[in-house]
Amino acid sequence: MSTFTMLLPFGPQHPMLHEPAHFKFEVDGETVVNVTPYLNYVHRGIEKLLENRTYVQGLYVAARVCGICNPSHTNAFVAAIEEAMGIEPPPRAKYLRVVTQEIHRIQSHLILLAVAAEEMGFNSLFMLIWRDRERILRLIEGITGGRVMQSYDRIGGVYRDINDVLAERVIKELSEMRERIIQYRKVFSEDPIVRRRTVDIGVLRTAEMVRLGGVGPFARASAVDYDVRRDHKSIHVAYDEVPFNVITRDECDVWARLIARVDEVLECINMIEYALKHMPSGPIRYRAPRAAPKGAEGIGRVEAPRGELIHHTISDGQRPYRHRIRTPSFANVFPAAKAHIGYSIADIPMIYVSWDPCFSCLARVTIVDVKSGTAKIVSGDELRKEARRRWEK
Amino acid sequence: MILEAILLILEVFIFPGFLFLLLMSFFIEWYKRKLFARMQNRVGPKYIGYKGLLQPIADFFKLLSKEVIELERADNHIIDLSLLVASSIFIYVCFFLPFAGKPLISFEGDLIAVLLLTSAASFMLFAIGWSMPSPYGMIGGMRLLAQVIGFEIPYFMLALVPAYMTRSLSIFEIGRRIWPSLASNPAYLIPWSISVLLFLITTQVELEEAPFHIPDAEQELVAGYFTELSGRRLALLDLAKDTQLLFCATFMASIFFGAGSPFCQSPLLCFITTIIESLAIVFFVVAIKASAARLAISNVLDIMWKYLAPSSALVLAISLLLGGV
Repeated sequence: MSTFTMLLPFGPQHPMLHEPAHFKFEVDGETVVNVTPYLNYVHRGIEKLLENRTYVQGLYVAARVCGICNPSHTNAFVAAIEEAMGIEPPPRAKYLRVVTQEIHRIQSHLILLAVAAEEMGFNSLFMLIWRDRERILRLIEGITGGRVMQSYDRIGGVYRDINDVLAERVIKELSEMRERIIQYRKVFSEDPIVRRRTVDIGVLRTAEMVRLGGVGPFARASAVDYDVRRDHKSIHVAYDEVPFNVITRDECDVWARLIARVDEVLECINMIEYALKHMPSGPIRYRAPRAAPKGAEGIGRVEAPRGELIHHTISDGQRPYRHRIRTPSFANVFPAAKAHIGYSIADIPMIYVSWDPCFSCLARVTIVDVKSGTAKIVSGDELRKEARRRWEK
Repeated sequence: MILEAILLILEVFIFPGFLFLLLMSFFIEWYKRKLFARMQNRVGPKYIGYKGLLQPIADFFKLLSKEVIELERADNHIIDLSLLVASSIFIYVCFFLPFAGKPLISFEGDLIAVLLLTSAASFMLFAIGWSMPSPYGMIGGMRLLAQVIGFEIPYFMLALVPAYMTRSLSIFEIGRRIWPSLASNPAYLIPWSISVLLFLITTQVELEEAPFHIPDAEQELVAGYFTELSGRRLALLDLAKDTQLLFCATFMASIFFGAGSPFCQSPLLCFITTIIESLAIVFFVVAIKASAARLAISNVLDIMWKYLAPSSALVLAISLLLGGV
């Protein structure tokens, strides 16, 4: 291997990225030999914000962690708080949560598939998938009242009910959607150019994926058989009552990751149909207390579209003493960076899109002292003080 | 004498000279954009002029009015020179094309001259990327060069197929004789039809359209060799690319389909047929563009060297055999 390498910056502004992030690719000719991710462009201090708000106010802040998978964040937040308070939502609310979670998974996966098509220069497919996603968004608006941002889950239940007319419309539109998705599956699995660009690209074997801690469809495409919905019994969502298959694939490449998502979308449609047909009657919300006992802990684990999402809260009465969010994209950065090494520049966008990155949820402030090699996590207050000190100087 | 001189000047500057080529390039850009948009269920250019017909002209003049940002470490002289040479070559080679009857410039052997000039223009585009200090420009330029070297050989060989069938090396003559020679020797239809398909693919490569838009792969290299161009430079490059599309479509129409030569007696009819044929070819170019993803550079070089070059040599050999060398 020659020793001459060139640094190819991708970001903070680059057509490949849809959110600000920065990847420095060290390339030797057309081959990537090293990757360094720089991720801290969208730090918003949400964990700190949550500590200053009551649980009800915090619900809306939690939803804004991520624009695409906000129901997952609301759900995880609510599950953590409900666990800390020791309450369980009514059965109908659990089913409604399944419906909203899964319908959001559909739209999130459709975004990814569309973006994957766009990253490989297939603009027509991008436009077509985007048109279908629009129909899903309309259904979401019908169910929850919000097109993109909802905060549908409430502590002790959900925000509003679904009636039979709407349920029928959802089932009808989703069965039409199934045909379209099957057609897209055909495009992704049969188009020769798509196959050339994705098969055997960005391979990460199972052992390596487990070692680096990938989660979600990204890991399941490397034959890591783990899904929070199945493996972590939750009393906050009715996943134990709705039957579904966990999609795993053993090809371990970009193609497997895309097809795993297409299959998950089909699985989601089945789940929603089952949930709507078997929805128990009863109230949709119990009146929840305003406060949790001091020191009570709660963990909300949700399978977000991108993987396992964890909200961990420690109560301080009416508000969290500390709220910690572990987002799936954060877990996926390291295996994803590893997947680039050894492949060419042309493969960068494909490998990049295959882990479905979403950066606005993963920024943390960590200050590293280069001389002593120590690192410390800084709170918002200290940052403000530091900013003030510099400003006054 | 004076009348002839005036006529020549009119021909050079108005029809089928500069003014016509300029307007036709803008029209063909509009056509391409509108077609591409409709194929993707979008609207496309809409507001300026009838159905957005004047949009490319508006874009061009807007770019002309914008500031040129000259990079400090870029080789600005080479960039300007290459841009000028590239865009003037694309306009110049259009003078060889029979838009309405006999072209402005025509001599025995102009086919070779035109092919050489177009590859020189591609090299100029590479020089632009190479003079840039940014890695996007450099890698884009290198990819362009790799692609050009790959496709030039099949492009040359395929262009020689109709030239051999008609025993001529002049574009105008090939166009005039292609239908009679196909009619007199129907066996020629086999190499002719295969070479039409292959030539369409190589045209796609020459135009850097999908699935071969690799030198300016947006998601990898932003805009490839023209990432850092702005203002007048970008306007000039856009114009050059439009003229290139016009040239490639009409070139293919004239050497493979005779571009209006059956109606040579009436210039108007000849002109209309030529334009319709070119637009039909652009339609196929856009249809391929709309239905394909981007290949990786290694895949393209594979296709070029393993399949396209041998098969075009084979097609040429078949037509030589049929012609009885």
